[in-house]
Amino acid sequence: MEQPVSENLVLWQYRKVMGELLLTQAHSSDKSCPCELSSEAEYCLPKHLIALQAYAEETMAMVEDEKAKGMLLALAEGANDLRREYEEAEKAERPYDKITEFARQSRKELEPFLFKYKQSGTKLFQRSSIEELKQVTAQIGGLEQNLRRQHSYWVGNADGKPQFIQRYGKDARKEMGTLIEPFKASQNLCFSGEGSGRMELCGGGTKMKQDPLLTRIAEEICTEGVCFAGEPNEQLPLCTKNQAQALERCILEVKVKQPDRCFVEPKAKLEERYYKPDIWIKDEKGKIISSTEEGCYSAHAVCRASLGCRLGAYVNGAREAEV
Amino acid sequence: MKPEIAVTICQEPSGQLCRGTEAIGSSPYNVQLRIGCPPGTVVKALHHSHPGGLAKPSPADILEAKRLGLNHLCIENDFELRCYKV
Repeated sequence: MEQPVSENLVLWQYRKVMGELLLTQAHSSDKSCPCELSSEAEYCLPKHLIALQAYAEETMAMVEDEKAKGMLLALAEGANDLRREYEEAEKAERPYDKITEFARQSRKELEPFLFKYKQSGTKLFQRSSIEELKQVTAQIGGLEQNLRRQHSYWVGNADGKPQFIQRYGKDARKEMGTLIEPFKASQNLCFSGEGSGRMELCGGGTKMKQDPLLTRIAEEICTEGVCFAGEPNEQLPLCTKNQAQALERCILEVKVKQPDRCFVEPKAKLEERYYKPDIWIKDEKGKIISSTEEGCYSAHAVCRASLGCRLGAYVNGAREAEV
Repeated sequence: MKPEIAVTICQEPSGQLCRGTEAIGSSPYNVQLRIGCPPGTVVKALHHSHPGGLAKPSPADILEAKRLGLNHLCIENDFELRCYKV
Protein backbone atom coordinates (compact mmCIF):
# COMPACT_ATOMS: atom_id res chain seq x y z
CA MET A 1 0.00 0.00 0.00
CA GLU A 2 1.23 3.49 -0.76
CA GLN A 3 2.73 5.31 2.16
CA PRO A 4 1.29 8.75 2.87
CA VAL A 5 3.59 11.65 2.19
CA SER A 6 5.44 12.61 5.33
CA GLU A 7 4.37 15.68 7.19
CA ASN A 8 7.91 16.98 6.98
CA LEU A 9 7.75 17.03 3.20
CA VAL A 10 4.37 18.76 3.19
CA LEU A 11 5.70 21.26 5.68
CA TRP A 12 8.70 21.92 3.45
CA GLN A 13 6.34 22.50 0.51
CA TYR A 14 4.21 24.90 2.53
CA ARG A 15 7.31 26.81 3.55
CA LYS A 16 8.33 27.17 -0.08
CA VAL A 17 4.88 28.44 -0.99
CA MET A 18 4.96 30.85 1.94
CA GLY A 19 8.37 32.14 0.87
CA GLU A 20 7.19 32.75 -2.66
CA LEU A 21 4.09 34.55 -1.39
CA LEU A 22 6.18 36.82 0.82
CA LEU A 23 8.54 37.64 -2.04
CA THR A 24 5.64 38.22 -4.42
CA GLN A 25 3.96 40.58 -1.98
CA ALA A 26 7.19 42.45 -1.28
CA HIS A 27 8.12 42.87 -4.93
CA SER A 28 4.65 43.83 -6.16
CA SER A 29 4.02 46.35 -3.39
CA ASP A 30 7.35 48.14 -3.78
CA LYS A 31 7.43 50.08 -7.03
CA SER A 32 11.12 50.79 -6.54
CA CYS A 33 11.99 47.08 -6.68
CA PRO A 34 14.80 47.00 -9.26
CA CYS A 35 13.57 43.77 -10.80
CA GLU A 36 10.61 45.70 -12.24
CA LEU A 37 12.77 48.35 -13.86
CA SER A 38 12.80 48.10 -17.62
CA SER A 39 16.58 48.30 -17.65
CA GLU A 40 16.80 45.16 -15.52
CA ALA A 41 14.06 43.17 -17.25
CA GLU A 42 14.13 40.51 -14.56
CA TYR A 43 10.38 39.88 -14.60
CA CYS A 44 10.57 38.60 -11.07
CA LEU A 45 6.82 38.78 -10.50
CA PRO A 46 5.81 36.36 -13.25
CA LYS A 47 8.63 34.09 -12.12
CA HIS A 48 7.36 34.07 -8.55
CA LEU A 49 3.83 33.47 -9.79
CA ILE A 50 5.01 30.52 -11.87
CA ALA A 51 6.84 29.12 -8.84
CA LEU A 52 3.73 29.61 -6.72
CA GLN A 53 1.57 27.78 -9.20
CA ALA A 54 4.08 24.94 -9.48
CA TYR A 55 4.53 24.49 -5.74
CA ALA A 56 0.80 24.70 -5.10
CA GLU A 57 0.00 22.10 -7.76
CA GLU A 58 2.76 19.81 -6.54
CA THR A 59 1.62 20.11 -2.92
CA MET A 60 -1.99 19.40 -3.86
CA ALA A 61 -0.98 15.87 -4.75
CA MET A 62 0.62 15.39 -1.34
CA VAL A 63 -2.26 16.39 0.92
CA GLU A 64 -5.48 14.57 1.64
CA ASP A 65 -7.30 17.33 3.47
CA GLU A 66 -9.95 18.67 1.11
CA LYS A 67 -9.68 22.14 2.60
CA ALA A 68 -5.95 22.21 1.99
CA LYS A 69 -6.49 20.95 -1.56
CA GLY A 70 -9.06 23.68 -2.16
CA MET A 71 -6.76 26.35 -0.78
CA LEU A 72 -3.89 25.15 -2.99
CA LEU A 73 -6.09 24.87 -6.07
CA ALA A 74 -7.32 28.43 -5.59
CA LEU A 75 -3.75 29.59 -5.07
CA ALA A 76 -2.51 27.86 -8.22
CA GLU A 77 -5.35 29.21 -10.37
CA GLY A 78 -5.02 32.69 -8.91
CA ALA A 79 -1.28 32.75 -9.57
CA ASN A 80 -1.83 31.53 -13.12
CA ASP A 81 -4.55 34.09 -13.85
CA LEU A 82 -2.50 36.96 -12.47
CA ARG A 83 0.63 35.89 -14.32
CA ARG A 84 -1.32 35.91 -17.58
CA GLU A 85 -2.81 39.28 -16.76
CA TYR A 86 0.64 40.66 -15.93
CA GLU A 87 2.15 39.36 -19.14
CA GLU A 88 -0.67 40.63 -21.33
CA ALA A 89 -0.83 44.10 -19.76
CA GLU A 90 1.06 47.14 -20.91
CA LYS A 91 3.81 48.07 -18.51
CA ALA A 92 1.86 50.96 -17.02
CA GLU A 93 -1.17 48.75 -16.47
CA ARG A 94 0.43 45.77 -14.79
CA PRO A 95 -1.78 44.54 -11.91
CA TYR A 96 0.65 45.22 -9.07
CA ASP A 97 -2.11 46.02 -6.57
CA LYS A 98 -4.03 42.87 -7.43
CA ILE A 99 -0.94 40.75 -7.06
CA THR A 100 -0.13 42.31 -3.71
CA GLU A 101 -3.62 41.69 -2.42
CA PHE A 102 -3.67 38.17 -3.79
CA ALA A 103 -0.33 37.34 -2.14
CA ARG A 104 -1.36 38.83 1.16
CA GLN A 105 -4.73 37.06 1.30
CA SER A 106 -3.22 33.77 0.13
CA ARG A 107 -0.58 33.98 2.82
CA LYS A 108 -3.27 34.38 5.46
CA GLU A 109 -5.06 31.35 4.03
CA LEU A 110 -1.89 29.32 4.13
CA GLU A 111 -0.80 30.22 7.63
CA PRO A 112 -3.19 27.87 9.48
CA PHE A 113 -1.94 24.94 7.41
CA LEU A 114 1.71 25.83 7.81
CA PHE A 115 1.70 26.54 11.49
CA LYS A 116 -0.62 23.76 12.61
CA TYR A 117 2.44 21.53 12.75
CA LYS A 118 3.71 23.63 15.58
CA GLN A 119 0.38 24.06 17.33
CA SER A 120 -1.29 20.69 17.52
CA GLY A 121 -4.71 21.04 19.04
CA THR A 122 -5.15 24.58 17.82
CA LYS A 123 -8.49 25.14 16.18
CA LEU A 124 -7.79 25.98 12.58
CA PHE A 125 -9.46 28.36 10.18
CA GLN A 126 -10.69 30.87 12.68
CA ARG A 127 -11.96 33.44 10.28
CA SER A 128 -14.42 35.25 12.48
CA SER A 129 -12.66 38.57 12.21
CA ILE A 130 -12.65 38.37 8.43
CA GLU A 131 -16.23 37.22 8.35
CA GLU A 132 -17.24 40.18 10.46
CA LEU A 133 -15.62 42.49 7.96
CA LYS A 134 -17.76 41.00 5.25
CA GLN A 135 -21.00 41.73 7.00
CA VAL A 136 -23.12 44.36 5.34
CA THR A 137 -26.22 45.70 6.93
CA ALA A 138 -29.06 47.18 4.94
CA GLN A 139 -32.18 48.71 6.34
CA ILE A 140 -35.29 48.29 4.26
CA GLY A 141 -38.56 49.72 5.33
CA GLY A 142 -37.10 50.44 8.73
CA LEU A 143 -36.04 46.81 9.22
CA GLU A 144 -32.39 46.01 9.42
CA GLN A 145 -31.36 43.25 7.04
CA ASN A 146 -28.09 41.41 7.18
CA LEU A 147 -26.26 41.31 3.91
CA ARG A 148 -23.19 39.24 3.41
CA ARG A 149 -20.80 40.25 0.73
CA GLN A 150 -17.33 39.13 -0.03
CA HIS A 151 -14.59 39.91 -2.44
CA SER A 152 -15.31 37.92 -5.52
CA TYR A 153 -12.36 35.77 -4.81
CA TRP A 154 -13.55 35.12 -1.30
CA VAL A 155 -16.32 32.71 -1.96
CA GLY A 156 -18.36 31.73 1.06
CA ASN A 157 -21.25 29.39 1.56
CA ALA A 158 -24.66 30.86 1.02
CA ASP A 159 -25.81 29.78 4.45
CA GLY A 160 -23.31 32.10 6.00
CA LYS A 161 -20.75 29.56 7.11
CA PRO A 162 -17.20 30.40 6.11
CA GLN A 163 -15.80 28.19 3.42
CA PHE A 164 -12.11 28.74 4.17
CA ILE A 165 -11.19 28.61 0.51
CA GLN A 166 -9.86 31.52 -1.39
CA ARG A 167 -10.98 31.26 -4.92
CA TYR A 168 -9.91 33.51 -7.68
CA GLY A 169 -10.52 34.17 -11.31
CA LYS A 170 -11.60 31.13 -13.22
CA ASP A 171 -13.09 29.35 -10.28
CA ALA A 172 -15.19 32.30 -9.26
CA ARG A 173 -16.27 32.99 -12.83
CA LYS A 174 -17.45 29.41 -13.15
CA GLU A 175 -19.86 29.96 -10.30
CA MET A 176 -20.98 33.29 -11.68
CA GLY A 177 -21.94 31.63 -14.93
CA THR A 178 -24.54 29.51 -13.22
CA LEU A 179 -26.06 32.35 -11.28
CA ILE A 180 -26.15 35.30 -13.63
CA GLU A 181 -27.85 35.69 -16.93
CA PRO A 182 -27.16 38.49 -19.38
CA PHE A 183 -29.79 41.08 -20.05
CA LYS A 184 -30.31 43.64 -22.74
CA ALA A 185 -30.14 47.34 -22.13
CA SER A 186 -33.36 49.14 -21.34
CA GLN A 187 -34.99 51.01 -24.13
CA ASN A 188 -34.93 54.76 -23.85
CA LEU A 189 -32.80 54.81 -20.76
CA CYS A 190 -32.78 58.29 -19.33
CA PHE A 191 -31.33 59.90 -16.30
CA SER A 192 -33.00 62.34 -14.02
CA GLY A 193 -32.19 65.98 -14.65
CA GLU A 194 -32.87 67.03 -11.08
CA GLY A 195 -30.20 68.32 -8.78
CA SER A 196 -26.56 68.79 -9.47
CA GLY A 197 -24.56 66.18 -11.24
CA ARG A 198 -27.51 64.70 -13.07
CA MET A 199 -27.89 63.85 -16.70
CA GLU A 200 -30.93 63.86 -18.85
CA LEU A 201 -30.80 62.38 -22.29
CA CYS A 202 -34.05 61.14 -23.74
CA GLY A 203 -35.12 60.44 -27.26
CA GLY A 204 -32.18 62.26 -28.77
CA GLY A 205 -32.84 65.52 -26.92
CA THR A 206 -29.92 66.38 -24.75
CA LYS A 207 -29.67 68.27 -21.50
CA MET A 208 -26.68 67.14 -19.69
CA LYS A 209 -25.09 67.68 -16.37
CA GLN A 210 -23.14 64.59 -15.96
CA ASP A 211 -23.44 62.17 -13.09
CA PRO A 212 -20.20 60.19 -13.21
CA LEU A 213 -21.69 57.08 -11.67
CA LEU A 214 -24.84 56.93 -13.79
CA THR A 215 -22.85 57.72 -16.89
CA ARG A 216 -20.50 54.87 -16.15
CA ILE A 217 -23.41 52.52 -15.57
CA ALA A 218 -24.92 53.56 -18.90
CA GLU A 219 -21.59 53.06 -20.59
CA GLU A 220 -21.13 49.66 -19.03
CA ILE A 221 -24.55 48.59 -20.16
CA CYS A 222 -24.31 49.87 -23.65
CA THR A 223 -20.76 50.30 -24.83
CA GLU A 224 -20.82 46.91 -26.44
CA GLY A 225 -24.58 46.76 -26.73
CA VAL A 226 -24.60 44.22 -23.95
CA CYS A 227 -25.25 44.23 -20.27
CA PHE A 228 -23.14 41.30 -19.29
CA ALA A 229 -19.80 41.79 -20.89
CA GLY A 230 -19.07 38.07 -20.85
CA GLU A 231 -21.71 37.43 -23.48
CA PRO A 232 -20.51 39.12 -26.66
CA ASN A 233 -23.40 37.84 -28.77
CA GLU A 234 -26.02 39.68 -26.77
CA GLN A 235 -26.30 42.93 -28.72
CA LEU A 236 -28.75 45.73 -28.96
CA PRO A 237 -30.95 45.61 -32.03
CA LEU A 238 -29.97 47.55 -35.13
CA CYS A 239 -31.44 51.02 -35.32
CA THR A 240 -34.10 51.74 -37.88
CA LYS A 241 -33.26 54.43 -40.40
CA ASN A 242 -34.96 57.13 -38.33
CA GLN A 243 -33.38 55.89 -35.13
CA ALA A 244 -29.96 55.84 -36.79
CA GLN A 245 -30.37 59.47 -37.82
CA ALA A 246 -31.45 60.39 -34.29
CA LEU A 247 -28.51 58.46 -32.88
CA GLU A 248 -26.01 60.25 -35.07
CA ARG A 249 -27.55 63.63 -34.20
CA CYS A 250 -27.39 62.67 -30.53
CA ILE A 251 -23.72 61.69 -30.78
CA LEU A 252 -22.84 65.04 -32.35
CA GLU A 253 -24.81 66.92 -29.70
CA VAL A 254 -23.23 65.03 -26.85
CA LYS A 255 -19.73 65.39 -28.26
CA VAL A 256 -19.88 69.16 -28.39
CA LYS A 257 -20.85 69.27 -24.73
CA GLN A 258 -17.73 67.42 -23.64
CA PRO A 259 -14.84 69.45 -22.25
CA ASP A 260 -12.12 70.22 -24.79
CA ARG A 261 -9.56 68.14 -22.97
CA CYS A 262 -11.61 65.04 -23.80
CA PHE A 263 -10.44 65.38 -27.38
CA VAL A 264 -6.83 66.24 -26.86
CA GLU A 265 -5.68 63.79 -24.21
CA PRO A 266 -4.70 60.23 -25.01
CA LYS A 267 -7.44 57.72 -24.36
CA ALA A 268 -5.47 55.92 -21.67
CA LYS A 269 -5.10 59.13 -19.74
CA LEU A 270 -8.77 59.91 -20.12
CA GLU A 271 -9.68 56.54 -18.74
CA GLU A 272 -7.33 57.00 -15.85
CA ARG A 273 -8.99 60.29 -15.01
CA TYR A 274 -12.47 59.11 -15.77
CA TYR A 275 -12.29 55.93 -13.77
CA LYS A 276 -10.35 57.47 -10.96
CA PRO A 277 -12.44 56.88 -7.85
CA ASP A 278 -11.47 60.32 -6.62
CA ILE A 279 -14.25 61.77 -8.71
CA TRP A 280 -16.28 60.91 -5.65
CA ILE A 281 -15.80 63.10 -2.68
CA LYS A 282 -17.73 62.97 0.56
CA ASP A 283 -19.15 65.74 2.67
CA GLU A 284 -18.56 66.21 6.37
CA LYS A 285 -21.30 63.68 7.15
CA GLY A 286 -19.65 61.02 5.06
CA LYS A 287 -22.21 61.18 2.27
CA ILE A 288 -20.77 60.75 -1.18
CA ILE A 289 -21.17 63.70 -3.46
CA SER A 290 -19.78 64.12 -6.92
CA SER A 291 -16.83 66.34 -7.51
CA THR A 292 -17.30 69.34 -9.70
CA GLU A 293 -14.77 68.16 -12.22
CA GLU A 294 -16.38 67.02 -15.41
CA GLY A 295 -15.23 63.69 -16.70
CA CYS A 296 -15.16 62.34 -20.22
CA TYR A 297 -17.44 59.67 -21.54
CA SER A 298 -18.36 57.91 -24.71
CA ALA A 299 -20.98 59.81 -26.68
CA HIS A 300 -21.69 56.65 -28.65
CA ALA A 301 -22.39 54.69 -25.48
CA VAL A 302 -24.59 57.33 -23.91
CA CYS A 303 -26.65 57.72 -27.08
CA ARG A 304 -26.99 54.00 -27.64
CA ALA A 305 -28.28 53.80 -24.08
CA SER A 306 -30.76 56.53 -24.83
CA LEU A 307 -32.12 55.06 -28.04
CA GLY A 308 -31.75 51.39 -27.20
CA CYS A 309 -30.26 50.44 -30.54
CA ARG A 310 -26.92 50.38 -32.31
CA LEU A 311 -25.67 51.57 -35.65
CA GLY A 312 -25.15 48.97 -38.31
CA ALA A 313 -22.00 48.53 -40.31
CA TYR A 314 -21.36 50.48 -43.51
CA VAL A 315 -22.51 48.55 -46.55
CA ASN A 316 -21.95 50.14 -49.97
CA GLY A 317 -21.52 53.57 -48.41
CA ALA A 318 -24.69 53.42 -46.31
CA ARG A 319 -25.44 52.23 -42.81
CA GLU A 320 -27.00 48.85 -42.43
CA ALA A 321 -30.35 49.48 -40.74
CA GLU A 322 -33.42 47.66 -39.46
CA VAL A 323 -36.39 48.06 -41.79
CA MET B 1 -7.35 50.66 -0.01
CA LYS B 2 -10.39 52.85 -0.44
CA PRO B 3 -13.52 52.15 1.62
CA GLU B 4 -16.45 50.37 0.07
CA ILE B 5 -19.27 52.52 -1.23
CA ALA B 6 -22.87 51.71 -2.08
CA VAL B 7 -25.57 53.57 -3.99
CA THR B 8 -29.20 52.72 -4.56
CA ILE B 9 -30.13 53.17 -8.22
CA CYS B 10 -33.77 54.16 -8.56
CA GLN B 11 -36.19 54.41 -11.47
CA GLU B 12 -38.98 56.88 -12.06
CA PRO B 13 -42.30 55.75 -13.61
CA SER B 14 -41.10 57.31 -16.86
CA GLY B 15 -38.13 54.97 -16.87
CA GLN B 16 -35.59 57.56 -15.88
CA LEU B 17 -32.87 56.50 -13.50
CA CYS B 18 -31.69 58.53 -10.57
CA ARG B 19 -29.64 58.08 -7.46
CA GLY B 20 -31.21 57.00 -4.20
CA THR B 21 -29.47 56.68 -0.89
CA GLU B 22 -25.71 56.54 -0.82
CA ALA B 23 -23.23 55.41 1.77
CA ILE B 24 -19.55 55.05 2.31
CA GLY B 25 -18.18 52.25 4.44
CA SER B 26 -15.62 52.33 7.18
CA SER B 27 -13.41 49.77 5.42
CA PRO B 28 -12.95 48.15 1.98
CA TYR B 29 -15.12 45.26 3.13
CA ASN B 30 -18.01 46.95 4.81
CA VAL B 31 -20.72 49.44 4.10
CA GLN B 32 -24.07 50.08 5.67
CA LEU B 33 -26.71 51.30 3.28
CA ARG B 34 -30.26 52.21 4.03
CA ILE B 35 -31.87 51.28 0.75
CA GLY B 36 -34.16 54.09 -0.26
CA CYS B 37 -35.38 56.03 -3.25
CA PRO B 38 -36.93 59.45 -3.79
CA PRO B 39 -40.75 59.59 -3.57
CA GLY B 40 -42.41 58.25 -6.70
CA THR B 41 -39.45 56.12 -7.71
CA VAL B 42 -38.68 52.46 -7.11
CA VAL B 43 -35.49 50.57 -6.39
CA LYS B 44 -33.99 49.41 -9.65
CA ALA B 45 -30.50 48.28 -8.75
CA LEU B 46 -27.86 48.33 -6.10
CA HIS B 47 -24.43 49.61 -6.96
CA HIS B 48 -21.50 48.90 -4.70
CA SER B 49 -17.75 48.70 -4.91
CA HIS B 50 -15.25 45.90 -4.35
CA PRO B 51 -12.06 47.81 -3.57
CA GLY B 52 -9.14 45.59 -4.44
CA GLY B 53 -11.45 42.87 -5.71
CA LEU B 54 -13.15 41.93 -8.94
CA ALA B 55 -16.04 43.74 -10.61
CA LYS B 56 -18.24 40.70 -10.17
CA PRO B 57 -20.83 40.00 -7.54
CA SER B 58 -20.10 37.21 -5.14
CA PRO B 59 -22.69 34.45 -4.81
CA ALA B 60 -23.65 36.03 -1.51
CA ASP B 61 -24.23 39.35 -3.28
CA ILE B 62 -26.54 37.64 -5.74
CA LEU B 63 -28.46 35.71 -3.13
CA GLU B 64 -29.00 38.83 -1.10
CA ALA B 65 -30.07 40.79 -4.16
CA LYS B 66 -32.61 38.09 -4.92
CA ARG B 67 -33.83 38.04 -1.36
CA LEU B 68 -34.24 41.80 -1.37
CA GLY B 69 -36.01 41.75 -4.73
CA LEU B 70 -33.36 43.77 -6.53
CA ASN B 71 -33.28 43.24 -10.28
CA HIS B 72 -29.80 44.40 -11.03
CA LEU B 73 -26.42 44.63 -9.38
CA CYS B 74 -23.70 46.98 -10.50
CA ILE B 75 -20.26 46.27 -9.10
CA GLU B 76 -17.12 48.25 -9.58
CA ASN B 77 -13.57 47.58 -8.56
CA ASP B 78 -10.55 49.82 -8.90
CA PHE B 79 -10.56 49.48 -12.66
CA GLU B 80 -14.02 48.93 -14.08
CA LEU B 81 -17.75 48.88 -13.46
CA ARG B 82 -20.01 46.03 -14.48
CA CYS B 83 -23.78 45.56 -14.23
CA TYR B 84 -25.55 42.24 -13.93
CA LYS B 85 -29.10 41.05 -14.00
CA VAL B 86 -29.86 38.95 -10.96
